[in-house]
Amino acid sequence: MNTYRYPKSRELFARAAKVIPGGVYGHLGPAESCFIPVEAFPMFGDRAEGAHFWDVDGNRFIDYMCAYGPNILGYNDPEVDAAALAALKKGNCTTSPPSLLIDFAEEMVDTVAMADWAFFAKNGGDATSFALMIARAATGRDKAILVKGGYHGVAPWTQKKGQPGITNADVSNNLYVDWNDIAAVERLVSEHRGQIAVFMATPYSHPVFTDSELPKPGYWAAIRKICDDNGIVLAIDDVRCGFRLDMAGSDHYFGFKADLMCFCKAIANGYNVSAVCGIDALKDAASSIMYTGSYWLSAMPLAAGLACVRKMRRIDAARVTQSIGKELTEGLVVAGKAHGFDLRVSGVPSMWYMRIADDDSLLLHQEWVAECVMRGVYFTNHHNLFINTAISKEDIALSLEVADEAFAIVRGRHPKA
Amino acid sequence: MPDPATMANVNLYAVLRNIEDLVTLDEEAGKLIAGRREAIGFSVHGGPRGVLSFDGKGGGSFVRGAAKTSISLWFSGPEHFNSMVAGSGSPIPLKGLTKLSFLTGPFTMLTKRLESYLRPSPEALADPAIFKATTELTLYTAGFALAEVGNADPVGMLNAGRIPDGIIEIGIKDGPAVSLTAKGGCLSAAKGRTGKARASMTFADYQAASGVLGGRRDAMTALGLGEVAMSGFIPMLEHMNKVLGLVPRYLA
Repeated sequence: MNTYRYPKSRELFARAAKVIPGGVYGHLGPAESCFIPVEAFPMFGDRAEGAHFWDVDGNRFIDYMCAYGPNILGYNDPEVDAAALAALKKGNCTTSPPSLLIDFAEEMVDTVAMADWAFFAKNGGDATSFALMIARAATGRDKAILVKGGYHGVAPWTQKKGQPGITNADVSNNLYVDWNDIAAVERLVSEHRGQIAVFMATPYSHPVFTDSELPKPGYWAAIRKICDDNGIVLAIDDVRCGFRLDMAGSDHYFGFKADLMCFCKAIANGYNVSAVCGIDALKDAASSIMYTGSYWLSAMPLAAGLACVRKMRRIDAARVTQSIGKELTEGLVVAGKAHGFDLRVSGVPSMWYMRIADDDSLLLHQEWVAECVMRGVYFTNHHNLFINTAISKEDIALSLEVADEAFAIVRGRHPKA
Repeated sequence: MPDPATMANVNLYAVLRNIEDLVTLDEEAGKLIAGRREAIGFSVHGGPRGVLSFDGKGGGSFVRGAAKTSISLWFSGPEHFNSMVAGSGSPIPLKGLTKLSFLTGPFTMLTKRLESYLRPSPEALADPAIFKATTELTLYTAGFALAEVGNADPVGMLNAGRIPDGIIEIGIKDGPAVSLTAKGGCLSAAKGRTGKARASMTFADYQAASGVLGGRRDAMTALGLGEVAMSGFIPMLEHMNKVLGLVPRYLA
């Protein structure tokens, strides 16, 4: 199998480095995305269609990152794009908001089991920050219980004490517990009685660099009860999991009812909109907060979101992506085993995490991922991966073929590992 | 604002420690200690302690803590020691009064030589030998200072506490390296490679190392350009880099 080269990507990155901090910043850049080694990865994309994207050097990739989640129906989905373009032509970012705002809110209320209302913003971080503010407005309390390793965006309150740009005051109201540790939550609630506004967590634990962990039996029921007994708002950050576990919401998937749910990523197949859904009891608190942005009520992404949610419901995108993910990950584990590697897969198959567990440095995993990427199967090293509904049987077959060759190459380099 | 106690640790364990290498990397420095067999003890009340020795054959070594000395220098506190390093204070000699001329003569000149390497002029950097030696000493200074900042600076300690246990190798490809051991949130630095690194940050060459360590190139951009490569258990490097980001405050 031929391996890819990226001369144009390199050339463009050198240009970018002169005028952009870090060249490409954030989660799509070589640092945050752990391009190891950097030579194995493309830096810039050129076009995309369905389950694939092409980089600026013309290399095609089967994309298992899905733009870190937004691509759920395949790139350039005709239904979503048609709705978005029609809204754009009619008028986008206008002085009076489009009535699409109501249509989309109604669709969210019909789709998400816990939702009595919906509020739209742009990014996942807008949604989680708003959820925190709603909880504070509703309870008159300051503190938040968060799970260690949980990611809720990049707003200062979501970051850690001691990190660049973060003051102690930014995070002074955060209290942290380990995932699945009910006793720790009880302890914090007892120690800070009457001070905790919200318990915020992802539906299951999916941090970077670490195996994903599902809630242990009874976990969410216990957390729900602690929140109810102590007047604490239960907010679920469904930004990453949303619509890949359950179209009715990930709380529904795990059998409990959240007070607030945050959505982004898959909600509009790549168009920029996020949402907070809430229960009726928190509607007044939500409306009492001044929270808005220049583009939050633009028609185009609202139309895209509406079309995307409707299509996802029609085809049951959560079920489809889990089915594709299961087939792929089972094949990857078998391929690894054939070469004597222990490939550990964790999380829900539509957004699984994987690592070769034969060394504690993850070097073998990094080598394997690099070999896959250079053969057109785009994995990333230490983040969970994503499935979209456009991935075909042929894509999976080719991916497994590439994975097998990559495993063979790594085994050849490390015969005793 | 830099913490004076951390600054004193950095000054002794990361900056002055370099003299052990300087005497072999720099011919002029080597001449200054030729034939001199001395052990200079530095003792800072409420602060660091160490001994810098010259073996009389052109070699130097530094040990952390107490050891036999021929000259002993005492400092009333971290601020006193820091003022001496900054050139505005003087130590209190407790032992070796007859060797004060070594302190005021060769040793002072050694520290000036060291400064010329750690803060080189553009003209000096044009000399390939000086450039190479400067980069090597800067690498050691950064590596050892990183450990001190992670162990003593309040913000550094927060980030060092998040570094998973293991050895991090920071080095130049086919060149010098520092191995940083993290254990239970405490850091210790040593020169060289162990072959047991759990994570590594490797500069492609001396130019790349000089650019990043000298603050002329940010690490993120260098990574994208292939000037530095990271591998292994990345959370170690992620948190280490946040400590490394504090180091310039103590070396400015």
